[in-house]
Amino acid sequence: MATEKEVVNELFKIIDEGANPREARDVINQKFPDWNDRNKLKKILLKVQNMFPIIRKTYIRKTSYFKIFLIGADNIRARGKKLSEVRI
Amino acid sequence: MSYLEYNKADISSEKFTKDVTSICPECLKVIPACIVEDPDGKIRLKKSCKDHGSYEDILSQHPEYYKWSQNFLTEGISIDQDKRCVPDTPKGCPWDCGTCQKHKTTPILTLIDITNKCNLRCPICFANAAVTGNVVEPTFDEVVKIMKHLRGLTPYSNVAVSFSGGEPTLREELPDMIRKAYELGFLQCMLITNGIKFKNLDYAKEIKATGLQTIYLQFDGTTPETWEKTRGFNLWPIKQKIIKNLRIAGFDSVVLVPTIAKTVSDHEVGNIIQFAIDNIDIVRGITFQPVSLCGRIPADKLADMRINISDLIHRIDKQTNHVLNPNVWYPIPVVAPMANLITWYTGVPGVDFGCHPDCGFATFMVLNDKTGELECITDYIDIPEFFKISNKYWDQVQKRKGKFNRFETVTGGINEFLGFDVPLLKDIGKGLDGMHESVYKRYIMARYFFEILGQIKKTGRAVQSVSKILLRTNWDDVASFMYDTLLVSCMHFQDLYSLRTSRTERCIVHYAVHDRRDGIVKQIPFCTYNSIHRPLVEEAIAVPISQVDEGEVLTMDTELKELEKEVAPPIAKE
Repeated sequence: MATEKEVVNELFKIIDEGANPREARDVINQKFPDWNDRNKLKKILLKVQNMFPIIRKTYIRKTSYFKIFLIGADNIRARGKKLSEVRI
Repeated sequence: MSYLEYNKADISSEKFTKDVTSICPECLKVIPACIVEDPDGKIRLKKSCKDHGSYEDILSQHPEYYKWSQNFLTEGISIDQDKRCVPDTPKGCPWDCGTCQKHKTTPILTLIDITNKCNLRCPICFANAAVTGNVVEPTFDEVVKIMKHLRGLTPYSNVAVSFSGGEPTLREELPDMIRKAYELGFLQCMLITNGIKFKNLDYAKEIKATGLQTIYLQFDGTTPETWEKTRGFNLWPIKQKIIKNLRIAGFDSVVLVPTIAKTVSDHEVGNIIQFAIDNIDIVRGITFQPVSLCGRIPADKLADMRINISDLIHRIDKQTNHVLNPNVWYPIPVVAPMANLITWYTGVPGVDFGCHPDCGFATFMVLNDKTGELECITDYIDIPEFFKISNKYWDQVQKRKGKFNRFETVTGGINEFLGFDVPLLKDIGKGLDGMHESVYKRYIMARYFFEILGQIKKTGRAVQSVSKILLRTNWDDVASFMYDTLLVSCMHFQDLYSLRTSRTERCIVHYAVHDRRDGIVKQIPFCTYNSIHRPLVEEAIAVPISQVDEGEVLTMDTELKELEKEVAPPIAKE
């Protein structure tokens, strides 16, 4: 079981390195399978956001980064299908 | 509903035919032309030059789609006559660009080429300094003069400016130019770039610090093979790094600009949309650009190479498994009446979308953050009805234009009858007229808003954003709509074969240049600048590379070789 601090630090690191929300969620899911939970993740996002300088905080807020992060890549669907199924 | 369902009644069953004016691709003389629907179901532009024979070009392979799109032709907002740089039109369109007295719209976006130097040597580009042998760079003062001119246009002064090239990041004064643009009051500054310089994170941060909002990033595909064909070597890993760096630097608005050429990158459209969705935090839109054909091309080759908007839309349909099907796309002018109404009501800086329907199509994708479902704007709003309603109210407003002077006329009449001016009477008349106009504006916008509400199919963040735009009408709300959606658009620029003056005179994307031949700042429609005017304007500025900075060009070649080494070994050189 990973601690909250570990997940917060890891998520900060991934975002700081320029990962998109989908990549960030994938890494968290893989490294911390027990944290693959929308409600659990939701509680730590503010902490992660506050670790960034103002310019990146603005970017995270304006781009709804965490909203997309919370949806999680596999759950994004188009016309009821997973994106991986939509693509030819 | 879409053109296939709702607008069936609006599509004429008769064969399409329209007389237009074009130019001879050989001698560039203005010649008559005709758009016809041929028995094979293709819409063609046919023209004949006395000296050089006949030419034809396919405008659309989907006649119903083409005919339907023509319903969206709207009236543009003309630039005031005294602000036009070319006082009369002796040669006629498209030779008197500047703009001339016949131009029917105001530019929504103006491009300023700040250098023709480039750090790539793309096989599909013939315009950079290394190829032409000349360096073309307006001075900093000339760029400022151009920007001042654009801000001074009336009735709609320019609010968006874009720095382009060549590769604009090679110009050292770029950060100063961006800062100056904001200082002059531009609301939106953009950079049209291949992004190579943003490989350097410090440079990305330096440009972000200028306040630059949007980056138009050259983006041809997501496979090494495509990049090799379009740009000469595999740029794919570099483009991914650039996106990461832009994100780290704090950019939140990147528009991917894929040039689509038949058999080269037309199989990539689905992948590009997928990439945009994966990076929807930073990618605000995609502008597909079917390639414009340069030079003289034999007729059979032209037919093979030509790819136009309807072709592209049908490819996107296939490659997204019908998620973005032809029913969700609309010509750009669909939003023109709404934009005009908002400008009239609020007095916010106006933007004119009154271009020709053939210029571009667009749709918005919306990520529903509750369900995770990716939807289209057409799932939320009935777009054709929205267009009809907006048009109805804009027509009403146009009819009442200049008629809010009744009280002033009456009070003026009283003064005349009395034979002397009663103090304040005229002011009272003016005040009452102002109140009358204000009440009328509120009345129209309230009715408009409620009628639009009736066309909403379901609620969500996108609809909230549209409502905010209509109710509060400020630029932040427009921006907020863009952050809630992904714009997917196609812009098809004309070339010598497809050029029609009926499109050119409605062009809303201009180049602005300081023409050293007569010292005048001119705005030249995008398509005519690249097809006709560019060499003429640049000739006056051009300086042979040998006279300026041969060393710099050589350095660029070395940099390019290093770049090529950095990425994976060539895959499809043949």
